[in-house]
Amino acid sequence: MPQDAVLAFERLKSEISDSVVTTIEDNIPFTVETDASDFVIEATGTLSQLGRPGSTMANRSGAQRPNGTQGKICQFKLVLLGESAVGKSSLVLRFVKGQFHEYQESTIGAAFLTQTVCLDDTTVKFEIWDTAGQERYHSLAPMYYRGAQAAIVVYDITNQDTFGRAKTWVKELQRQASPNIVIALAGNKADLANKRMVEYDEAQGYAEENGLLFMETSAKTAMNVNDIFLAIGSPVFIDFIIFFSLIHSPYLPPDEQVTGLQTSFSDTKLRWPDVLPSLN
Amino acid sequence: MEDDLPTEYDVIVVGTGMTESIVAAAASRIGKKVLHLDSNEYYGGLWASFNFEGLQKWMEDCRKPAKSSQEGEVTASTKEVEKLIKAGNQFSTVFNIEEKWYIVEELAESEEGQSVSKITQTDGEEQGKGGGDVDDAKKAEDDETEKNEAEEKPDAGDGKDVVTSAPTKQWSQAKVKKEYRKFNLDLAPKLLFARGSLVELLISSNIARYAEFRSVTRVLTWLDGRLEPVPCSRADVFATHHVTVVEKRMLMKLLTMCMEYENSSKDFEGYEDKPFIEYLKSKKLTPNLLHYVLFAIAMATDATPCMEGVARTQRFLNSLGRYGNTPFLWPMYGSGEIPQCFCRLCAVFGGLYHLKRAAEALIVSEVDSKTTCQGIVSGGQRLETEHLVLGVGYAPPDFLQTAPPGGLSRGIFITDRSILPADKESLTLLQFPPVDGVSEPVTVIEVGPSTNACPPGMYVVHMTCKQQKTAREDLQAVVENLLHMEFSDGTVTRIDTDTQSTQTASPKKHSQDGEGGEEGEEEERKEKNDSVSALKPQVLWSLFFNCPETSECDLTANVPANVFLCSGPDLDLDFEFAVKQAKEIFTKMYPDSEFLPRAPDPEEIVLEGEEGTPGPTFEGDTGKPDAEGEDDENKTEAGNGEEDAGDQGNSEGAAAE
Repeated sequence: MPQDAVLAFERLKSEISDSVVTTIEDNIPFTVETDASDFVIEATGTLSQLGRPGSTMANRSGAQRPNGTQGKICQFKLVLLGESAVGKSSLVLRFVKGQFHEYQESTIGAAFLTQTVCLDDTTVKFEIWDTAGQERYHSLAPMYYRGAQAAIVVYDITNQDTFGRAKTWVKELQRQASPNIVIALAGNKADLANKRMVEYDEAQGYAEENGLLFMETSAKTAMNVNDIFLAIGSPVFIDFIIFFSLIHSPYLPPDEQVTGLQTSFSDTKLRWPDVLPSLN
Repeated sequence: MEDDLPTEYDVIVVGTGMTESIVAAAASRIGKKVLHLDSNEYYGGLWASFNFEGLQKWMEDCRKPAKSSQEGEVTASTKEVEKLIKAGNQFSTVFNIEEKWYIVEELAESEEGQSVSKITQTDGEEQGKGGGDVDDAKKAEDDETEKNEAEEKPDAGDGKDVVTSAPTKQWSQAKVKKEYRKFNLDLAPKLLFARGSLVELLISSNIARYAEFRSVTRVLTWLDGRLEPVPCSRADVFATHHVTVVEKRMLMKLLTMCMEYENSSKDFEGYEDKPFIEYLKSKKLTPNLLHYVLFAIAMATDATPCMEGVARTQRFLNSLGRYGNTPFLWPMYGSGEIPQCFCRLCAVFGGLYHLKRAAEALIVSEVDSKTTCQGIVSGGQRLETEHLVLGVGYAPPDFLQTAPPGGLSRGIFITDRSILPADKESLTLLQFPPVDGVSEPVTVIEVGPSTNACPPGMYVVHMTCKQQKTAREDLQAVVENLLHMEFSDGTVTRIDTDTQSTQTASPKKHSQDGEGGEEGEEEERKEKNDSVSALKPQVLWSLFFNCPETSECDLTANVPANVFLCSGPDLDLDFEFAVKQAKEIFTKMYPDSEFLPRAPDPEEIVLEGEEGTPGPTFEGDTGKPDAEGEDDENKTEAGNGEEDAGDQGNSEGAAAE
């Protein structure tokens, strides 16, 4: 304790700049761990670093450019919604791992999966959240879709009820989630077209009325799986770029831009609908 | 009627409060089969955060008499030695609810136009935007965001205007209600000490990834009838005008003494049984310093014993320097997110969730005068369990020996500006000391739009204190000191400056609007001299309520050995009590198991049957190795971390050695 106390007091005397948002730990953590004490610093990628190519931004596997240069990293949260057993986890698994299991068990221990896509000098990191079964008795926690930039609402084309439930989810998102969330509707199990109960046109019409992206997908055959993820990613992605070019310098005062600590990128994502003047 | 649930569990948890959720997560994490129920349609019970509409609904529910299902006879198949005990009803627990508006229901169309035209007359430049305001107000809810932007602009314009005549942003009840989903109002607002047990638990369990935090930007205190920032960092010490150089040294010396108490205990000899204040006085601190240390840093009172005061001081100082300028973090979207994070972890590891599902009764057997809980009756189903964890609100009345000894007085206020305007949005903690007519210290937390507590242009002020009379009476004195809580129809203009616009405007706008801002500040200073009261935030809406403080209840006396009761929100600033209680309950249930070991990162999860099949590749994708040697990863992290510490260029780096 005495040693700790001295250290802590050193901290008191030190001057640490204002942090804005802290994600205590995240996917791209900086971690200092010393054996001696409980002394750990974690922070996520920072807005400032993202805006400064070549900075000390963490570039773990996947974020590194093939030619070794570093670019911006955009991380964005995508949530899957839909009735149990419509194939949410299968879609993610197909997208992230390129796999399909006929008798997919609910994934234990996987809070979310990540997939990284590089475009020009920017790395887009999807953080794909699965419901963990909390939807089963209509008990999904709102924190699930907090700050999500995109949602894929999945139904099963062989089951009319799941389509009705999908519509409820869309309403819920429009009511509760961030106002600018991009929503895609996925009619999954398209390989089972002979058992089809939801007509393509019906779903397409509904999607158009509600401004949703729509595709029929098959996690089994991989049909449209990559397409729907990328389609949902791209408009958000473009907005990001515009957002940064508009907002970057005036938004953060200089002292916050160089601290490299704790200005969570994802927070910026959360806030942009409020901060940003209309993009149009 | 209700969904059928599987009937056998290792642990059934009823109630999604903080302690319950941590226990559920911990049990699920070590592979136990967990069922987690809550009779409400939301998570968190008395720890929840709501948007404006949700809070209205909550109040309605609280006012309703006990649900009829609780009164009816509960039937379920029971074995010979078993009996049914009806579960408690939590809605009997919130009382003295007083909600009030201080603004007009709806702005008349003409009035709204008028206020805009005033602005346009004085500042032609704003005309277009001002017009947009009126149009936008008519737009559908979908355009909310744009509307806010448009609405804020006329405010920013005020900075350049002669403001005394034109009212600033006018709120009406309708306008506030329309923005309902931009609110996150906490029933039990809690801060996290940066080195408190919850932060450590969030990190060690890897649950931190589900939540985001904002660091509290300033700690204020009430000194000589006004708000003063408490110096937390050296920068603050330099900035403060209230501490002289001599005092600064004195302060540093005293704090060092407290921090190194173990080494310098001689210094404290003779004060073991005396109040902290006596010790501080013996150090010949000036009244200002005494106030800072006693009320703001130690968050103590005159009666706090010396050793407790030292411990509290240490707690504050220990958490400094980790995440920001102050020792505190605030969860984005409010405190109610935290229980949900633990629930999610529970679900991720297979826990079953069912909201809107109550436990009607407990099935208790008595063999050889040893009572054991066999399970619960829920939705007419008999659900069996090894252990039962109950939120105190669900506990059968017989389980509690005495009524809760105390209660909490809570106040929530939506205001139109900060209690102490600054040039950028602040997140404030104020421990209001028991002075100026305030009998119990009141914890005041002010959060702004950047935490998603409220829409732009507003602030939310939370007040919490120990209950003595009703919440309103208990908090009245602090309210009077800090807020303007009287009806305002907007016709009588208080001496409104642009303080609102400068403080609520985003830093971006501020810097663009630099000139206006400066003028504003000057004006503000002038104002301050003229009349401090004129700057008090106008309360738009207020809510008072009382709820029981159950942290000091004896929760084990009359309870079967495999039933564990969990307290509701306590008075403390942090969640420490809930973490401690959850750990104790878990250890009683599973003494040999680790409490919330670290959950794997997505990168570490190798799915069954996974071979080297690459995922989809994209232009320039290097192909992400999913389960690459963890060691490498750790090295990278450590490397980055060191760089990072170096970046800070301060003691952090030294501390690592």
